[in-house]
Parts: sequence; C-alpha cells; structure tokens
Amino acid sequence: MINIKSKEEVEIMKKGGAILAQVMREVLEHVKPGVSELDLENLANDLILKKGAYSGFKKVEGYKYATCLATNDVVVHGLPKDNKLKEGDIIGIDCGVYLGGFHTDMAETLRVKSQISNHKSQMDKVDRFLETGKRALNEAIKMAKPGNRIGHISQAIQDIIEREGYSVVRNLVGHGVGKKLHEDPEIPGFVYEKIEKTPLIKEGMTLAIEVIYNMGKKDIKTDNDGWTIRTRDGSLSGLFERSVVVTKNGPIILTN
Amino acid sequence: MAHQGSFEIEGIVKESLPNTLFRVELEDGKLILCHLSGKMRMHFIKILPGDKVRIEMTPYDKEKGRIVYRIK
Repeated sequence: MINIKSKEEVEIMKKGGAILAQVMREVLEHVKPGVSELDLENLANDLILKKGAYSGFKKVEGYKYATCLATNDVVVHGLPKDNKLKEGDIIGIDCGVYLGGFHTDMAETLRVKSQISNHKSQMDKVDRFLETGKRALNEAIKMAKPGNRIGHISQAIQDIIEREGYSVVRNLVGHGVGKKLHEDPEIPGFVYEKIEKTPLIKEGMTLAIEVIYNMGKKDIKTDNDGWTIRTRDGSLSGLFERSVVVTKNGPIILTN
Repeated sequence: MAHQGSFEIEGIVKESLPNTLFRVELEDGKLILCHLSGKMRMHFIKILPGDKVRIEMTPYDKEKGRIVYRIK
C-alpha cells in the first residue's frame, strides 16, 4: 500500500528534509584526510539534535548510529568505525532525520581530498564513477512525475549506470518514505519486470530514490557484524539518494 | 538507509491451512508459511497441495511468503 501524503504532511517533511540537507552539507565539508568515521558520525548526531530534530536511523531496530558510512568497497549500512580517511578514498554518507512524525532520507558519496579544487581538469576514473552516479540520480528524479511508473525511474538509473560500464546492485532498492523509514513502493535501480506492471506514480507520493552501484560486478556480501554490506569483488561502490515528493508539476526534492 | 528488495522464489505446496494459508516447501527443503495474494483471490485461482507455485519473499522475514503465481 503506497501512502499518499497530504499537503500538510508534505510541509512537515519539507522541514525535516531541509534540516537533513543542512546537516549533510556541514558533514560533507568536514570530510578531509585524517578525519575518522566516528568523527563524522558524532558531528552528524550533534547537528541533528542541535537543529531540533531526531535521528531517523536510530529508530531502526538494532541500529545505534545516526549515519551509515560506506567507504570504498562498502556498499551500504557501514557502521561508523575508528579508522581515519585517506586521500583519494571515497566515502558514502547516508543519514536520516525524523521530525514531526515523518522520516526523510538522504545520501551522498564524496572523494576525500585535502583541498577542494574547482576545476575538473584532473578527472580520474573514480571521479568519473561518482559523476555518473550523480547524473543517474538527477535523471531518475526527473522521472518521478505523475503518470510515469516506478519502472521509468529504475530504467533511468540502469541505463546511465550500465552504459558507463558499471553495475547496479540488485538486492538493494530505493523506497517510499514517510511515517516509516521504509515504505512501499520498492524502487529498484534496474528493470526486472515490464514497466507497465510497476506501480503508477501519483501526486503526493514521497519517494527516497537511491542509486546504488559498483565499479566492478554487482555481487555483494554481508560482513560478520550483520550490517555492513560490501562488494564481493572489492571494487568501489557509490551511493546517492534524495527524498522527493511528487507534485502535479513534477518532483520536488525534500532534502534541499 | 537502503532497503533490501524482495525477491521471488519457487516452491511446492505441501499442505493447505485455513484462511488460504499454505505450507510451502522451497528448493532447499525449508518449509515456510505462505498466504495467497489478493490478485489470485480476486480471480478465484485455486491452489492445492502438490502445485508448483512462485513465492514472493522479503529478506527481513525468511519464514513467510506470498504466493503470486501457480506454475502450470
């Protein structure tokens, strides 16, 4: 059952989304070589509380952190650890905020650099990898308008990712978001049944669209801690996610 | 936080219980409790023990499933 949110509920989610976006921006600015994952986790936790919201991820049964940190070959659900980030690492920061009874979910992957250079003259293959993921997310979000189907979002993600030679992770999916962190529908990053058979997108739906992809093969494995999911072939993995609401004129990103 | 997607698997119906619940045996021998999907109920598709069926399962509960198709 896909929950349609009323205009008032969407306004509450917009507030939560705005807070989440601010928290993410500050945490991303702190990503530098020498910073440890736990530093970022504690920073995110403090910022969320300071802005008057609650951590959405702590409401997940069995999860005690405010963020999931996915460095290099970790795909998703990385538990924040003590190790320090190195130059050239990639880190995917996934965070959720709970405000007014509603969740919002957002993730971004970033390259760890000692100085931020604005020119793209030295785009190596890792930068191209991340650029593809961002592009896939933007195209996927554009597909979230009334009259389209979930399959169109999946198709947009799969086309862009696979055209560059990367692989879409199959077992992990985007999802509806609202009173619960994970709601219907499931939004896979690949097309597995006829698009006409996937759910119809309607005005008022709130979707957390995720692009989860690997540089190498799509197979993944779970660590012994029961949460951390890594690529089976050790290749890098990227994660991008935004929570959007579908309106008459198209999608509006809640986490902005 | 990413959500683990549901997947489809095949099995053989071992026994039928009240309220269109069925005990189904999967390929690896595990017995799970399945219910009939609403679409099949709507179209009055009968399931009897011995039928081969397609099940939809979630990775979050490995003991339950939903029967979505009766394979000929």
